[in-house]
Amino acid sequence: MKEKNKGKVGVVLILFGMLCGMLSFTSCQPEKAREKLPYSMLFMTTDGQQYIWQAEQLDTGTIDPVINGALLDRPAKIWYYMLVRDGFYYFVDSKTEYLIKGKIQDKKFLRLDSVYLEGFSYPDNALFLDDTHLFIVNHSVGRKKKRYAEINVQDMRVHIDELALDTPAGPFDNMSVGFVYKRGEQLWMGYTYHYTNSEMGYGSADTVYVAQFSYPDMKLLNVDKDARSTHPGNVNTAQQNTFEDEKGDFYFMSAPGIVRGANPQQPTAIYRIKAGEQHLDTSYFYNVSDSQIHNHAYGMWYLGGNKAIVRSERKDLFRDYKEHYLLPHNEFYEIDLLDPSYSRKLDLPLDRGSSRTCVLVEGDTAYITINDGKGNNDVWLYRTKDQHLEKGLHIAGNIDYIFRLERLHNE
Amino acid sequence: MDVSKELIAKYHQGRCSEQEKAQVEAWLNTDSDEVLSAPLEIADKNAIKEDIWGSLKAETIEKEPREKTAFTFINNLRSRSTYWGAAAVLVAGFICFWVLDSGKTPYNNRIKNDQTVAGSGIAGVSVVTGENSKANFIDKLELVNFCGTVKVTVNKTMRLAFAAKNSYDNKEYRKEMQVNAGETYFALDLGDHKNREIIVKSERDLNDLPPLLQNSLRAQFGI
Repeated sequence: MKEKNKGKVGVVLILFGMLCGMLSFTSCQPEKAREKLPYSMLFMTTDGQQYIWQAEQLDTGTIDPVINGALLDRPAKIWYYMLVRDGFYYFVDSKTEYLIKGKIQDKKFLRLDSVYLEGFSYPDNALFLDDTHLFIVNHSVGRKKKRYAEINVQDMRVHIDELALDTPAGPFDNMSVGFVYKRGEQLWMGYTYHYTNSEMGYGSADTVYVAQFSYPDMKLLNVDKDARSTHPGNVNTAQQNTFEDEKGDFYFMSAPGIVRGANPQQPTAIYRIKAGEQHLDTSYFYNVSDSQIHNHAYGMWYLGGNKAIVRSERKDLFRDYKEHYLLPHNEFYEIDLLDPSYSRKLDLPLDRGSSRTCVLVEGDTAYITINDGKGNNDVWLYRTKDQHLEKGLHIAGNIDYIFRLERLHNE
Repeated sequence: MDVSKELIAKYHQGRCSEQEKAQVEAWLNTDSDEVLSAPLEIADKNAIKEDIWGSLKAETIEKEPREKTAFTFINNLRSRSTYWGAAAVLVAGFICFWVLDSGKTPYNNRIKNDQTVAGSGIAGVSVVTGENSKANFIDKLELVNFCGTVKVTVNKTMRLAFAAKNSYDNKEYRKEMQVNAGETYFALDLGDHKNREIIVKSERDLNDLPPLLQNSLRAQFGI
């Protein structure tokens, strides 16, 4: 009897131990995953609500951000320019002109810190120069000088100053900085001038301007001009189109199409500043509109090995700016930066949205988010080595746009 | 100690002989702030001095007569300044009058920014004009006639029409929509004679607009 009882107790103990082991797995594993979830996605629903979902992976499965994500309820519209860095979120509250730092905890957006950026109700351009320093150029303020703010996001201290760029003159009543690029002790800025009035409508000067500053003292060293296209760098908070390749050559795209530079008679083009050079490489001019794409484009992401993805519009599928963001008409092409005769259209559904951070490249995989307007909101995986496309994570629910997909943590 | 800049550069590039290396390191180890010596012979120094003096002379002593001429010219100008000044004022005045009167500048007839249209509050509709804009509100028709940009706030839910006339073909462009109590709307009359468009957006939906238009509204209305 005693032997039998011993046996029973042993079995119970083993089962209890296994149960404890299972419980510890189920309770600890998700905690660990929550600490360092690698991806962040920002969505807007068809009723105008915005949600953040932090994802463990993008390759498979289904998520519903309305059920599982964090609602951004204050302010109601942060829109597409939420910045993400090292687990934290940053945005400028346009009413108060405060830069807010927050994070997601227990499905809620927690505000952690803030700093007043006077006159910066809306960022024209925002770039993390490194893990600590966020560089923001303010939105256009008529014919006044452009200003920049450099924020230390650790202690939330800010330095604000004017940019030594010529103010708009003549028919031009505002200007925009499309890209900021730091190389060593120099800061480069792509910019151009715009008009918005009832006489002329809205549009841009026909020139790409590239200014070179010393950094950190921000002395203007030089301005290059190129009149073959306009609006260099687009709006980097909305859609990316700059990168540095393996050699350190810097590429940027101009955006003269109707929803950005609005000078559509000029071509969308790719420009280059070569590593170690102090000026635009005038011998390089990739005319996107004159290539097989034959349209304007607004987004560009680097794949490696001189290849890049370009997100371009289809001018035969929309009539005005409203249809531009509402209707599915955007296509994705793989191009060769050094060989304009090569382009390969990716076999993806037509995509919606004029302001979307929709491509994330990791190693040999490009994650591409698609809103096809028919409820198919998916992450697609493009394997660059074998040029293979497959559908990954599906986003369920009443999602109107997938605004952003990016790394939540850098490592 | 005689250590030249060239020798230091050579040292940092690792090209010094043992003797040179020892020389530089001995200098580095001293607390002396002695100025680095230039590897110039006395003859070279004298040649450089001559060059500097030569260029100074060309820019100063030898240039004097020309400067004198300029000075005389300026004096002459000064002596006639009253006449020149009067003439300049007359010419500038005429140009200003002609430009403003002919309406060739895009910023003529500027209406003060953020000006509320008189009487527009009667039907619970407040209309504020942007830069370079005009507007009136026709109460009975519930119609905002405008050109440029207007900001409209309504305190009752209603159907409101926005109309703008194209000065090229005199054609009226109109947009009607439901507006909600307590909300603010922005109407823009944009485009050239080929493409004219009336855009109306509620303040909540301004971000639908292209950034150029968003920035313009922010600059005009401080939103």
